[in-house]
Amino acid sequence: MPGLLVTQPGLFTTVQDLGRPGHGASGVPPSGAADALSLLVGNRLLGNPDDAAALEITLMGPSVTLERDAWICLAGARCPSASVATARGEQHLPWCEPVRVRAGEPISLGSTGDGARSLLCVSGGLDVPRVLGSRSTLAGAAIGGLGGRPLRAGDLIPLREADPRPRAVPSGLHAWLTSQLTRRIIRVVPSLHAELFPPDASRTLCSAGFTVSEQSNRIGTRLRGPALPIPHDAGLLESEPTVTGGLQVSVDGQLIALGPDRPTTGGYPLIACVIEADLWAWAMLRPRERVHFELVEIDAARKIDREQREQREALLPEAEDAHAPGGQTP
Amino acid sequence: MDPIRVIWASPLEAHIVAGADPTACYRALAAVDIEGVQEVTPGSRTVQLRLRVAANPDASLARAVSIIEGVRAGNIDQPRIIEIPICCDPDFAPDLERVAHDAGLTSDAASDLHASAEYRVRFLGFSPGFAYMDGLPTPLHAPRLDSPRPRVRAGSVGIAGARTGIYPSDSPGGWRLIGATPLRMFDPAREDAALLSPGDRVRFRRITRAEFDALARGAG
Repeated sequence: MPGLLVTQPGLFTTVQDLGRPGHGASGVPPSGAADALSLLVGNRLLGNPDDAAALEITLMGPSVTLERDAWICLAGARCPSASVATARGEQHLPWCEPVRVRAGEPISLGSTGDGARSLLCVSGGLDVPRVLGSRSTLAGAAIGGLGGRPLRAGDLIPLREADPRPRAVPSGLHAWLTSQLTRRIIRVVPSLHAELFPPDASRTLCSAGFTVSEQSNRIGTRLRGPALPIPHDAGLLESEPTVTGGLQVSVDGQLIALGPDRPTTGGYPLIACVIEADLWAWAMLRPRERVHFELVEIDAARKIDREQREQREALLPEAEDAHAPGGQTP
Repeated sequence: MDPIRVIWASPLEAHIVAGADPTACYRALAAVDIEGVQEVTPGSRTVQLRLRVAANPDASLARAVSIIEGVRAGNIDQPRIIEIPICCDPDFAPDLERVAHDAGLTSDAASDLHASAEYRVRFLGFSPGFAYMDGLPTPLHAPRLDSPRPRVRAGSVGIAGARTGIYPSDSPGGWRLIGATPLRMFDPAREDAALLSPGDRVRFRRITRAEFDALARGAG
């Protein structure tokens, strides 16, 4: 079965799909693309099912070659120097646009540029076995993806059979997507322990700027900034289920935002949680970038999340036959 | 009984403070298909419901609350009993001597005491398949290590505070290690990937090193 050959793996590249929600009671986090919106867009532009598996790329992307002709789509962060070496010379790989690539043509992604994470989607999707219902990688527990780990040079990832149905990029999609991914004022709702914090805590959370630390990964993003006052009985808190996007406050008042590979329970107080609509912009944040928070009411958050989904569906609806394995006859 | 409270941790995740054992609530909630609920996860004092995006939050929560009211009224299922073989060979139990000493017992007596209790899985977390179990006999209560070991071998049985737990995979760990099991506590290829579920009753059965090796070969 023809596959995707990895020449250079990039900094931290893993196979991800839309994840495996539903196993929290077994201690298994949802995983999946940190920027699920971009994964969905990349897949829909290729005519893939929404949950076709792709490569999630972090800061420095891989170099790969396909063993069969395919359509690919680069989504998420823009990878300004991404290119394909064709017979006609080096061709720039455009952002968020299906591109036809021939077997054997080297694809080089380079730096992700202004955002931390990109998705490389391929027609048909990556064909690694599903584990607990998903092809997503949980590297910490060696689950899913390719051997439960980030890619290495020499890896060969099988590609699923495809009847590619790439779509023209809808007018307005790029502008809309850019607006969703470049937010640096992140909207949060009060979370599980919000009531336990002194009022100063939310004030500091929403007035100060925070800087993303290099000590960040899919488990969590550490932020540097002013110390938040913590609940005086924070030490008595026991472990409770966590949430993706949850802002935990550690003993020294510093924030950690939980990611898709988070531990499913934790004992640190949760002051706020990033709303779903802003999780994709969150996934874009690079080390040393600065971010601010804005507190919103939960009903307002639900409205924002719903509107984003509606805008997404209006711009790029799911193809009716996206799940039909054989596809349509051209 | 305290009233049932709902605290939203995110727009889609509600924590129910049930005024009843969250583990029993989890079992009752997970046993039925509640419209709009994607996932139920128990914790120490709360049960989390994750809703689907299309859910009507009020309707889903109302259903969940009525199920929890049943639990509060005594409607609790009978969990199964799981037996875990444990070998307390010094190779597997670097902290046993200290735990025993603090309890005023020999290592052997401490191991027997650990194996004499019936435990209850409260919830899983930390890593896939890691079960937090209540029921540790008081003399064996011990704080976590001051700093975690960088690598604890999969199958290691540990103690922290008033709980016991088993590391399902190699990982860093701060619990005090008093033995090891050859069982695979988490196997994603298995139908029940996690060997233990919230609410399970657990008993440890002491085995020799030879039995451990034989079981480990069989399980490998």
